[in-house]
Amino acid sequence: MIPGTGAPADTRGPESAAEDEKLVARARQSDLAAFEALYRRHAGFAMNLAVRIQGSANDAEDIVHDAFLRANERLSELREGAAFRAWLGSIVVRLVRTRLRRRRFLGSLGLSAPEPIELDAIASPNADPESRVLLAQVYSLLQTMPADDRIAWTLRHVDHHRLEVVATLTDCSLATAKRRILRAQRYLSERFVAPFAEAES
Amino acid sequence: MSRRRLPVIPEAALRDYSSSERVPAVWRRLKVELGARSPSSRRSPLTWAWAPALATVIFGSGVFVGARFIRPQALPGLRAEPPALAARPAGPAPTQNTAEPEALAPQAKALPARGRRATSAGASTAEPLSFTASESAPYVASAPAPTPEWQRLVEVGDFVGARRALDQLGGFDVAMAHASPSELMSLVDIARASGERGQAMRALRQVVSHPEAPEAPLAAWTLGNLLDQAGDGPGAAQAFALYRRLSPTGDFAEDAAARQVDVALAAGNAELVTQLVEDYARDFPHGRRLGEFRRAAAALALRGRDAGPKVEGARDEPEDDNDESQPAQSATPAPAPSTDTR
Repeated sequence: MIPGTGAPADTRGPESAAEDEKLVARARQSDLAAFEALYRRHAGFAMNLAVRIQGSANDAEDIVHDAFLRANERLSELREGAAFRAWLGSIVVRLVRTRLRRRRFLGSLGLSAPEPIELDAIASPNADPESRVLLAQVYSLLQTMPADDRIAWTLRHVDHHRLEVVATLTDCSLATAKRRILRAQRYLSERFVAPFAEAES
Repeated sequence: MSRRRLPVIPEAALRDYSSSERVPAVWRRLKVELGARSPSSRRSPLTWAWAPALATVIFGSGVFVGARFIRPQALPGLRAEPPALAARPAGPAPTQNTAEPEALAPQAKALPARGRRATSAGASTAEPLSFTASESAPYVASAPAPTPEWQRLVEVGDFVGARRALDQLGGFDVAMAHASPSELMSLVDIARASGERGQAMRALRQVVSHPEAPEAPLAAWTLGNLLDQAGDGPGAAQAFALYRRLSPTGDFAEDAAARQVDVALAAGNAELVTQLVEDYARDFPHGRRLGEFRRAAAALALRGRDAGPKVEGARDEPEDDNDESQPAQSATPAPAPSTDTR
């Protein structure tokens, strides 16, 4: 596994983007080894994205699988090979958004129970208890938000992407991305309750 | 408790899946699918513009052959439906094939890629009428439909549509009967999306019956969660134990071990708790919940000595573990669970 594959889309250097460009060019010529290299470089990032937005690892494998399958089918539509990572991320986000909306819709009809948050899937095994409590509360609040706001906020404040990257990943304008993040931030701030010990100190 | 500004979520607090076992597992699935696709499947959709033209040519050939060489009076099998034939005299009427099976041979030979069904259709004139006819009709033979509709719908996240498509194919159980582990996981998604927990669990059990499948560990983990939610603590513990066997160093190995202890604690089985906590300490010496489990095991043993076998409120979970845990389990009586520990 190449180190740093799970890093956000905007923290990788220009060499990495250039390497992506070469691999994409080869993958377009049906070079499976090149596509595998792309997969190994970016699968961790895609998996992190899926799990962190959903708040569970339940369908993450399927999402990553589908995202790479679509990416492979539509490589010819990618204008700049160097942008593969962000482009892949936008596919993952679309797939997750579809699932979130569908689940919410089914839930509103009483056909589906809300998917439980899997704290262990989100939190690192080494996370301290305070961080786990924070994640648990934030994710339980995120579950009650509209999918677009939730996704934008998660990309910005959980996955730590720049605003422009959030806009790219969510396929919207920068202004819309900012608006969604702000709306989500306000919603969370109004409802977030500091843990007992922290409040006392 | 007090309201306070939302703190920053530290990157280090988040699980990183870069080196997760899930990544190579997904690639194995992908590789199979990508290998099965021709390079042309990656081309622009415009490159498929020739497909309708080809279909038209094939259909036209069928019409020509039908109009030119097949006489209606030579088709005794059509007597029952004369108006239908009259309505479309040039079409590749299905019953033509039964009257003149030899006329179909070239078509069957021209379409070898249709696989086993096309082969069987061309090989035997003793096949049922409708089957033989529909299989050898040219436009059917050229339709590229290797993926069932329900799977396509699952891929686009349309679980309601997928459920409907499944029902049209005979239902969930029929699809389950000959599904691969990967397809079974899709079926699990459909079942869970429509709230059919029982169906989901049956599909998951079928996946774990193939322990060599890459999906098996995840299926065991998911099954454990579902059983846990359904209140079947011993069953959940078995599923978590299975996960640990299938994936001893997997992403959820520690959590699975912890969930086994949780179940045993809820059941008040002091002996089993002691054994499982020892296992947990051995496999995860820096385990997140080791201290908590040791205290709980000691308290359980103490209470067992003081008050006999009955133990209440055995689970002593910190407030931070608020995953999809089992609130009702601590109130359950204390049957000896048939937990498979390792």
